[in-house]
Amino acid sequence: MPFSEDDLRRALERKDPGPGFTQRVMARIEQEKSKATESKWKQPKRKLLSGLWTFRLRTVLATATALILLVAGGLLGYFQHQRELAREKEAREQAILAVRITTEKLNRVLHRVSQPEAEPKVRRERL
Amino acid sequence: MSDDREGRLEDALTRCRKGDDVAFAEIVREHQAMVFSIAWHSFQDRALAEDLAQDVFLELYQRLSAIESAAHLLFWLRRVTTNRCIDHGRKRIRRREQALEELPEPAAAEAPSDPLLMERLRECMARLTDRQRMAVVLRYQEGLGPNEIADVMEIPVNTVKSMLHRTLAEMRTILARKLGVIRYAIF
Repeated sequence: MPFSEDDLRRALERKDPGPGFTQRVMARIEQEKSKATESKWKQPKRKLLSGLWTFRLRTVLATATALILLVAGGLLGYFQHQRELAREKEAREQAILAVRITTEKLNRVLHRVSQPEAEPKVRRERL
Repeated sequence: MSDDREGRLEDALTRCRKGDDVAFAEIVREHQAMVFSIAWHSFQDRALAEDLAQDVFLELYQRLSAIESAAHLLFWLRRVTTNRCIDHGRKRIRRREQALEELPEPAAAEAPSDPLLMERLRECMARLTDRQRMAVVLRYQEGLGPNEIADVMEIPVNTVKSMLHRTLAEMRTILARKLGVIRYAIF
C-alpha cells in the first residue's frame, strides 16, 4: 500500500481537544495557584515549627549529653576514691602486722637476754 | 503566522505577563490544537494527550516571563510538548485519571480521504520509536523543515534528515508487509 507525503499530512492533521479544554486548563491553573497560596501561608509556620523543633531537640540533646558525662565522671571519681581508700586500709593493716611481728621478735630477744645463763652441764662419764 | 494573528497574540502575551488570565485563555485556545495533536499523534491516547497538553500549558503559565514573543511562544510550546512526549514515551507511565468516555472525541478539521490508509498509517506510527514518531509529527503535522525540527528536538539537522528518510522507508516496509498479510488472508 504506497502512500504519499500528503497522505501522511492528512493522517497527522491537527485535532482539536474538544470543547472545555481551555476551561479545564484554566481550572488547573486556579487549582495550582490556590495550592501555591496555601503553601505560602503554611511555609513560615512550618519553618518556625521546624526551627523550634530543631532548637528544642538540640537543647535536649546537649543537656542529655552533659548529664551523661557528668554522671559518668562522678561515678569514675567515686570508684577511684574507693579504690584508693581500700589500698590505704590494706597498707595500714600490713604496717600494723609488720610492727606486731617486730615487737614479738624483740620481746623474745629481750626475754632471752634478761634470763641468767645456766651453768654448763659437765658430763661425767663413768670410766 | 499572519500579521493580524501575530499582533493579537503579542497583545495577549503582554496582557498575560501583567496577570490577565483571560488573555492566557486566549493563548491556550490559539495553540491547544497544536499541543494536543502532537501528544495525540505520539500516543493515540486521548486522556494522556489531554493530560500532557494541560501540563504544557501549566508550565507555560509558570514561565510566561521567559517568553519573548509570539514566535518564541510557538517554538517554546513545540519544544516543551515534544520533550514531554519523548520523556513520557520513555517512562511509559499509564495515567488514566479521567475515563475516556468523559472526554469528547478529537475532532479533525477535515475528513480524511481514505480512512483505511489513514488507519494503517497511524498503526505504522505506533510502531516507530519515540524520536522517529516525533520527527514525523513535527514534519507532517506541524509542517516544519529539517532545520526547525532539529531546533525543536535539539539534534543535528543531518540526523533529522536521515531519521525522516529512514522512518518513511520503514513505514513503507511495514505497510507493504501488512498488505502482504492481507493479500495472503484474502487469497
